[in-house]
Amino acid sequence: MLLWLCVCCGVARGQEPDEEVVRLRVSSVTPQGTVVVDRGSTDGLIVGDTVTFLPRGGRRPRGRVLQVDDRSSIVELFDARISVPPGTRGQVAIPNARRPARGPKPRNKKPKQTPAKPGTPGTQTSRGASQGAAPLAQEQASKDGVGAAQEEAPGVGDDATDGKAADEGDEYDWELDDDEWEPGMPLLARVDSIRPDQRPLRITGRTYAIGEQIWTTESQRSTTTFRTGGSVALENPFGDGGRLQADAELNYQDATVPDFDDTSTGRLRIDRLSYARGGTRFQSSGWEAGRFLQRGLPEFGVLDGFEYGVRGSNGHRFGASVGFMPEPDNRFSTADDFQVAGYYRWIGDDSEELAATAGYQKSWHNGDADRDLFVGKAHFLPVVGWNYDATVWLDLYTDGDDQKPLLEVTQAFVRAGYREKEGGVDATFTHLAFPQIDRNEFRPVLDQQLAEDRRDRISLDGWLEPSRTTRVRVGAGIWNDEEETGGDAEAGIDVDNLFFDGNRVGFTVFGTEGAYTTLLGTRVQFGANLDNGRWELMYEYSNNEREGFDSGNDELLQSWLRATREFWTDSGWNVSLSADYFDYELESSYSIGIYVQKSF
Amino acid sequence: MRLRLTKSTVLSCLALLFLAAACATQVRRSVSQHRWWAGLGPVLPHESFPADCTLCHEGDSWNTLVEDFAYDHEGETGVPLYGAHADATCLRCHNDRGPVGVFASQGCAGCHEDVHYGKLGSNCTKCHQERTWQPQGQVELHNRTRFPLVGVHRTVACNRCHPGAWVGNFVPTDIECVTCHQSDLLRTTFPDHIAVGFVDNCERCHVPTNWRQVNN
Repeated sequence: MLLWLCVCCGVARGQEPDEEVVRLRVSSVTPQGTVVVDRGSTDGLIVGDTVTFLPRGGRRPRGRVLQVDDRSSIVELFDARISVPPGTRGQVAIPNARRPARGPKPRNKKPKQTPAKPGTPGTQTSRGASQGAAPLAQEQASKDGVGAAQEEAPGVGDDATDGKAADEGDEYDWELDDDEWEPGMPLLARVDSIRPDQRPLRITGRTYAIGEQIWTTESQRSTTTFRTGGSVALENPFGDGGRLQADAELNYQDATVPDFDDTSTGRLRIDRLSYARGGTRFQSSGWEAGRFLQRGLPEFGVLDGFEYGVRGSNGHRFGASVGFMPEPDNRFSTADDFQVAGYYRWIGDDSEELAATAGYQKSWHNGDADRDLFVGKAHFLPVVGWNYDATVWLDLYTDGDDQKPLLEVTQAFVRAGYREKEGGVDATFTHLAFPQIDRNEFRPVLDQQLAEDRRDRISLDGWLEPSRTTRVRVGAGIWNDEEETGGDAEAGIDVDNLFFDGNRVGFTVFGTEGAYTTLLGTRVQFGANLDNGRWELMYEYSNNEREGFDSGNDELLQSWLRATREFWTDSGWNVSLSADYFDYELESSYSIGIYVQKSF
Repeated sequence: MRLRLTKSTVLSCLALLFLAAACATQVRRSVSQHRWWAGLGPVLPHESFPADCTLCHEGDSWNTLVEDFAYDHEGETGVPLYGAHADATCLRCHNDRGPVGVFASQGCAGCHEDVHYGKLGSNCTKCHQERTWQPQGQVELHNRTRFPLVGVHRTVACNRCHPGAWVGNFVPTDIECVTCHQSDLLRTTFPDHIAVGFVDNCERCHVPTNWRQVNN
């Protein structure tokens, strides 16, 4: 399958075209509504050429060249109602015969002015801008051949426009040379940027509210959930370049269950309240204090304490943390588990395509030694080709941890993925086992479960886009635990613009052999993207065969209908509404949900 | 390795760590010269930008952008921005941490904290959408585990089985019935399941349409 996907992803290269595309930009818009573009006769343009503009938003307005200068042209849009703002990109196709011959670029003339002395931002800016522009043009020229027309004007337009302009272009008198600029450097490389402690206070964040109500036809069974919260980040609040962050949530849940006592909980939980400094390109070291998710290795969890990290001159990082670990549930209660941890992150080179991190965490539960956890993670993420990442949790057990061997991999995650424009594939392996810990991290399990329970799963998911409007999805997985083996498979297709522009139709078939259930089902989705949101209808039907049920009445048919509508605004509001109807033979359930978020 | 922690031990360790951190911060470290960590240039590389600076910058202040500033991120960089990324200010990604390409190549984890503590892998968009980060499709994904959500299990909130779901902690979770239904088992009276030894293999008699449905 991989081979098939790779073959399909390969794109046959086209033959040499008879035309060449000259890219351009809108420099300004005249009061008459025509636009001025930054390409002219030296680039091969002539009166009458058709220009296609490429503004954001997908429309492709076109226009005709009315007037040509050596380095600019005036274009009249075919549809005068459309406006094309300055900066908009565009392109024009011209015959190869009209293009100048390519060859080595002549060297710029010696600068007439001495470059401004470094140290004065204003003068540096001016110098950088003008000086950078020249090599920029040259660099661009070498890439797309456009500049060749500017530099080697003889012959350009000899048969299409007057050669005078081209000759003038050849004689253009650059004032400064590119003595300090090199390809790959920012154009304004010598400009002092504003440091974090020089920036004005900036506040960003979001606030949200989530509500969900579930009813069932089974008497007295319902669930109400409400959550509201927000996060806020203040950059440079005290003038030292630091960052103050706070996240909190207020939630309420009421569950009514037949025959038993109802449960109702409400919590105010602080997820984060921390202050951080450093760790930027200006400061190789950084620290964070308060309640926060550990930066060096988030696998070590949320911390009420202090973390310090350093980036070495070779880009490698290391750090340590100390503090209490809140229990990872709705209360986030703290002070029971104390930890110290350290990590080291190695990188292959500056791109950090290849990196590996190793860390160790020692924790104590109510003063007693609890967990010795080693975490190792690595990734190899080249821009082109296969990507890999992996994380392994390794527990060291010592005296008293008699349910376990000395060393045990309690969790592992390994992924290999490949992406192309037309398709991709992900292969994943996961492993889970219960670590023997005193900390309240998961529901209590029996000693036998602690010793034996594990779950391994390997899966392969792929997608392919044979055309711009069609997407094919396939996926399969196999799991194995301490008792049995099962698997799952899913295949589907999504087609865009089938009935009208912007809509998407999806069809999926799936099957799973689970621990208690073997199911086979299908799912149909129909939706559309709008200017300010989207909507979708989904219907799923499945047949579930219960494993181990003694009676022959072990098949359960399920139907699920779901409608969603999302809205969003330019001002940062997002609203999502959903309604579900779920029928599982003897009973049915209904639910409605709302999600509102405002970003700022 | 059974080390008993006392208050004095903890305080001593804290003091030592504080001392080490204080010493470390007193040393003036030379900032790396590779790439543009210490280049002190603008956050955004400008090499592919048009030569006419006034298209984006106000003439009297290079740090102020023109009011009608717009940037075609996909057209200029080849990287399309979707959802909330399309509306974010440039500095949310192009900031003082370093070259954005380094972080972008790491996917979501390059910029976003992993609130699942690394336990759910690196393919965030499998569950989250890019506009609000709101999770979606959880039930469908759950069908691809060894415990598909059947019957009444689909109608309960996630945190009823995953207590850590409030804070993104989903695993490990056991799938034995008694793990979640222990209180139900203890309260049975007709018959008293504990008394007659019905303490496991619940699926022999019960189906998940509701807890009272039993095999005749």
